Amino acid sequence: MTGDQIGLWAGFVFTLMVFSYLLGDNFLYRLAIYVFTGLTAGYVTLITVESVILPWVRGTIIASAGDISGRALGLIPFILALLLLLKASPRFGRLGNIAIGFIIAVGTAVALAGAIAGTLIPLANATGSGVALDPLNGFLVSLGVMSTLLYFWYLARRRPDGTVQRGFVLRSIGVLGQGFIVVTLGALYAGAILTSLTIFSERIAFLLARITGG
Amino acid sequence: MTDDFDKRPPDDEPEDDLDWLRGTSDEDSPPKRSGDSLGFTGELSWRQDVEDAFENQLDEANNADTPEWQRDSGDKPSGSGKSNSLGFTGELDWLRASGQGQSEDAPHEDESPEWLRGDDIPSAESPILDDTPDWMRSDEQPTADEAPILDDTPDWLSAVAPPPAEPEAVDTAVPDWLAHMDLAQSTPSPDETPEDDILEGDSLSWLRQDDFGDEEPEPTFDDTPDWMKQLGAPVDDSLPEAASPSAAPPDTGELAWLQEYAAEPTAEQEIIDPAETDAANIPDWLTEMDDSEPSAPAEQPIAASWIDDDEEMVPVAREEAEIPPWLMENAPTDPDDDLFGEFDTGMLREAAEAGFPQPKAEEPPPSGEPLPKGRITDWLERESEAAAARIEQDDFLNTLPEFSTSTGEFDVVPGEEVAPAANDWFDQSEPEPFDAADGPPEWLAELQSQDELPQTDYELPPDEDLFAGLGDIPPAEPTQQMPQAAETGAFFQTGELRDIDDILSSYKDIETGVRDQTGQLLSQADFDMDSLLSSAELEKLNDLRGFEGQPSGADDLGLEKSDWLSDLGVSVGSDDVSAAAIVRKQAQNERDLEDLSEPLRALHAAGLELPNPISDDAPDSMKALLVGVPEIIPPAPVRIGKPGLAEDLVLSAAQREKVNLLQSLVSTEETNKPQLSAIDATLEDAPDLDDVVGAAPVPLPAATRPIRRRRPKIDRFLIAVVLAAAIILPFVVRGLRIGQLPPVSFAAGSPQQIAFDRVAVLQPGDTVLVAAEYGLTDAAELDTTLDTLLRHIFMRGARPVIVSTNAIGLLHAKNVLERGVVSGLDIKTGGTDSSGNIVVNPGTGLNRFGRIIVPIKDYVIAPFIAGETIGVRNFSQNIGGALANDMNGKPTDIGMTSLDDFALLIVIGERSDDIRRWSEQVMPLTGVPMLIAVSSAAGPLAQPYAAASGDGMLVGYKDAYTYRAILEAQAPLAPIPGATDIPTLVPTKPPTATPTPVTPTATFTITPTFTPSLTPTITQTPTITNTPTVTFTPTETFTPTFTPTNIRATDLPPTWTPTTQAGGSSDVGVEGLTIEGVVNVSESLNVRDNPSRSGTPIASIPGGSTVQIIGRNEDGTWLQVRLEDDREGWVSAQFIRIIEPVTATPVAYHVDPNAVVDLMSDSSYRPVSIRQEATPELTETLGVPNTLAAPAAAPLPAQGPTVVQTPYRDQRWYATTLGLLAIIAIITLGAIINIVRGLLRRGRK
Repeated sequence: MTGDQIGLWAGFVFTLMVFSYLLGDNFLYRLAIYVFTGLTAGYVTLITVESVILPWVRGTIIASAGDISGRALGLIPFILALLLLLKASPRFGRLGNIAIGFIIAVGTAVALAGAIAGTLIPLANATGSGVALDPLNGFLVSLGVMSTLLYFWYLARRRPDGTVQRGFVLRSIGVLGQGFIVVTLGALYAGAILTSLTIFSERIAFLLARITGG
Repeated sequence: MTDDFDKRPPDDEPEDDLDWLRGTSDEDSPPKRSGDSLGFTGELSWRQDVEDAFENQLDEANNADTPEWQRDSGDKPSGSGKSNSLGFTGELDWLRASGQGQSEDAPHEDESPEWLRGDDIPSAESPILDDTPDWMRSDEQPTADEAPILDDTPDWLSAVAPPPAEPEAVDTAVPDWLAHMDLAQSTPSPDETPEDDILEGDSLSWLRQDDFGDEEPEPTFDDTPDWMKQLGAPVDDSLPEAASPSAAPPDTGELAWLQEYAAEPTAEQEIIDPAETDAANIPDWLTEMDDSEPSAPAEQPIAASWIDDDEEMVPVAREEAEIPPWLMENAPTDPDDDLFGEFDTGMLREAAEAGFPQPKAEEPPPSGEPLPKGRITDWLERESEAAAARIEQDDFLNTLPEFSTSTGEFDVVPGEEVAPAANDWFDQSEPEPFDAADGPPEWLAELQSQDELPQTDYELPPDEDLFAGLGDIPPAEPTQQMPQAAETGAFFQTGELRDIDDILSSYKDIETGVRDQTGQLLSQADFDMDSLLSSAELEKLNDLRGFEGQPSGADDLGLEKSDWLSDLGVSVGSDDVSAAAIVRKQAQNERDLEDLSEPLRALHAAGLELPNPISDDAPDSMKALLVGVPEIIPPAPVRIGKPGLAEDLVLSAAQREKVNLLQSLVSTEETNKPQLSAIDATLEDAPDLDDVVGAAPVPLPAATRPIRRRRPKIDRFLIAVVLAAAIILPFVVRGLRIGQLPPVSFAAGSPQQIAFDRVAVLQPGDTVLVAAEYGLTDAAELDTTLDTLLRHIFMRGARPVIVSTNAIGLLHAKNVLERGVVSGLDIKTGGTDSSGNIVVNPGTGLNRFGRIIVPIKDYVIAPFIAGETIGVRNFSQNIGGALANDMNGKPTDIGMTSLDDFALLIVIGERSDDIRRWSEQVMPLTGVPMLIAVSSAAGPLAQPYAAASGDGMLVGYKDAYTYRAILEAQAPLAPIPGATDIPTLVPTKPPTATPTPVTPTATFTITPTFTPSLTPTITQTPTITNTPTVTFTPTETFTPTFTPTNIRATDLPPTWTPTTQAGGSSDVGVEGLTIEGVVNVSESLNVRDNPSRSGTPIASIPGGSTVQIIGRNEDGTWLQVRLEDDREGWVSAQFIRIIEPVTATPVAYHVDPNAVVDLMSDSSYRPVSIRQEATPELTETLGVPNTLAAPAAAPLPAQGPTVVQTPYRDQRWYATTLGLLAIIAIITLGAIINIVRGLLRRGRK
């Protein structure tokens, strides 16, 4: 039996173990989940080490053997990683804030720049251009976008009786936006079901193929 | 009587008029009457005189409404002392002093009660009685024999003048505060005026009284009403008697009206001798006040005589003209003279009409014993002592003796206890009218007996008089002994308790046997008023009230016996009853159930029928929140729930928010309890939240821990079975393959068609960036999409570069590229050998991409991109460095430096976040078109990005199916112009070798040679070394050719009938080739017996199945096929798609010499050499004469049965369709069941 065949049969067994959850939580299901989780984590770790860390070390620390600046540059990620590990210590946990701050700051900057250039502006252009191309569809898109945004309007006035309520116009538009949200969530749910069925059918086909030898 | 309240100063509002009655303990006080306890008559009677004097001075005063005490000390006393000195201007008109009548010819008799009138009522100028406070006297200077002012003068007086010396204490029945205000007394003489009396010559000199005593009185208790305080000094028994009333009041100016009232009668004014006064005009309570001494001279004003407790009560002579007209037979017409005005109860009018009752005949004092002074203070003292002796709890009113209207006197003899049951005077909604025939009260008689006061018989008001019964009869001693105090304490020994304050304060010292609901004896610290009413105390209550047959106790507090409580509307249900309810009931005079009116009885019956609203089971949150309180105060059954759904209480949204806020702020057992997540709730064995760090364990008593029953989840199992059957059966049962397959083409202009076109325009040599951003979850769906796209890319001759921020995605891409998945059949290759050659399995080893692909050259799997968004950003800006090596570390020769070097960007993601990441970080930096492929779940959210880019999108398995169908149906498989790299290997007819006997001496040498050309020629020369000599000379040269994938039927040799060559394997065919074709139709295809439409169908091949092609006709319009049962027939070539023939010469296997096939590649590919092993056995075993003189060909591995099956993707689609229908049916059925269940539940409600 070749390695591929072993892998195929292992997949067959683990698939059945995961399907055993239909009968309730049991040891086999948990075993399969733990194995998949462990394998995934191990593989990701291995890939990270091979694809990121080692090349970085080779390219900075080892390559710049006589260059202190190069080595220092290569050690910066490790120093930050060490500081991040100190977060587990109540005494030195504050030192980890340096690394966290760096990560958050860079991530926020990158995400913010991408959100503006990659989401807001293009989507706004698409919404507007849709009106020109297809008036009805464009109008619906624009109406859906605006009403959905206004649904999350949280400012309101306090009435004399103490209740806080938005104006009638704003509430009406918010209700419309809520309808769009409901439809979107329904579509997402339908897509999730379809994806699940597709995956399930593929697994069944795999099992049948293993059983029948096809 | 009129009570012109408007004339009162705003700040002088009399307070509780009963204050002066509180705590009075005057055992010698005369039996009181009903009105005496209220204390109205006496006060108001003299008020009238005072008020009259006020009115007289009001007009003359500059600051009529400003009392003197509000002014500066240096102000000149104005003539109007009405409002200034006394502080009230709007007093009863009938109370106005005779000074009004004295100063004016208009008598006061029209306003003052008749019984108060007396001939001895002095005018304003009349000499002041000894016990008359100076401030009530005329403006004359106080006389020398006047007693100094009491020390406890009002503050407003003290501020102006030093407190005067207190008068001598006089043992009378009159309250002390009244004694000090004896208007009949004369003003102190200047000699008796204290030297430091700054009032001399001052407007307040009238305050000085020589009869007030020199010593500061010892206040016993504050029983003086506030308004009286303002008028004069509080009474005190220790105070000396008022001085002789002969002293003239000081000339105060402001209090001229009082002074006039209190002043000695002028010469022209006839001093009325109280004794000579018509007794019918003098109330009994006034006559009784002065029973010890002869009344003062008639010149003494009598209006204030009874209020002086210390002085000898001297009946104040009142003129008949001073009696307000409303008390007279002729009712006053002047509305101003109406004392009460709109407050007129009518009783006083009736009293006025009926006339004053005749004063009670005074009993001569016993011989040798001085008559007790009929001071009202003494009476009140006796009364208070008697009340304190028999007081129980705070029901001091019950202790008051009862006044009998028939006898006009109190039922209880002074010194006797008053039976609680005899307090029927309290039963009346209105106070008992003063019996006119009772005569003056004792305290008045005492006053009258004084020498200073003229004896005057006062005419008591009629019985309906509001002020009747005041001070007429001294309170009697309690006739009934109080029940012995329980062993719980001396609480009921209330003889020492004098007032309500003492009673309340004594509660703290009481040790009762009150127990809470748990049976625990409450400590004194937990003692409270409500718990006072234990069964023991309730029993005492009933004993006192003489309730027979209705013992009060804890049992009686039940619903069935809580008559008296029910009448009060007190919620019953526990042993603890509100003290307020008890008191209220007492105040309302407990009545039997039969005494209640019909509506009350019905209400009582309804109250008994009500369920106990108070539950003993207090909610745990209440117990945790209010420790100990639920045992005492039963919690209200308030159930918090959704508005409109709560049974007992409906909360509004605002109230609901407040309740939630309170619950969130208050720590309760329920809030401390950690909650299970939705996922955990679905698990059979939910994790023990006690093990969660930070979660507070919730210990449950063992008895209350519910037993977890493992009930099989039948519903879930049934749903799972139905779904599984819906997915599995289409694979097995052909009849369940329902529904339509996806279309074989995209709609024109659709995003899917745009995506296809983007790939279709790729040119050979283009590099395509493919981001495989999916993991294990959606691999089953997106692997097909990735495979299809890669196939198309390869077919276009482009080179994909696989990147991913997901390590699992890279793994899947690698599997797709190396293993190969074609139509569901797991066609595996043998991997690559050490030289990098792909090993193709003979049986199923088909290169699914139509050509041989190799890493680095044909595709690149880039290293893992770490950091997600940041990593993608870094990758987009550092292409060269990121693609320098592949994931295995091998250097690549891509040579790319920017994103613009790519011809196309393809992002395959399982979530919308993956699409968003690449759209935000990569798309803005380049103009390269980006194609999006997502799963069905992420389709709606990825649609905006596809619309923004406008480069097409593929969603789910359906679009992948259609994409694949287009690839297979259209002619993209045809060699593209200029593509010479497609190998053309056409199987040719195998040579027909005629075996010749082999000469043992013949030598065959097989020298396989490979010429890298399109038509390789292999010449085999078998060498036979063994005898007999057989010479075999192959006469033909077999030149095998391969037909590439995109071969047409016409490319096949005409009328090619494969035969099995000697030595060859029939399984392989003569040429050693197996050419297969796929039935490229959706329906089935007929197999005919001859290559024409007129041929008879002999079989039917289902669409999509694979069939072995063994020949063709001349024009290639018909193909000869071999069926599973080895039958042969003809099918139309237009419906067959010829696939690559299976190579019969695997590298690792022995190769049939007659079936050697070379896989040719284009010039750009490295020649793939297929090793052919010639085993020695071939040489050695070549002695077989009938064989090819070659070594026996090793049997080739079996190819396996040719399975004609439905394409894999179709089965999956049928399964997905049926599963979707099953889910829709399950969800709809579940919704219907829930709706029906809800309707049934509502109907039950």
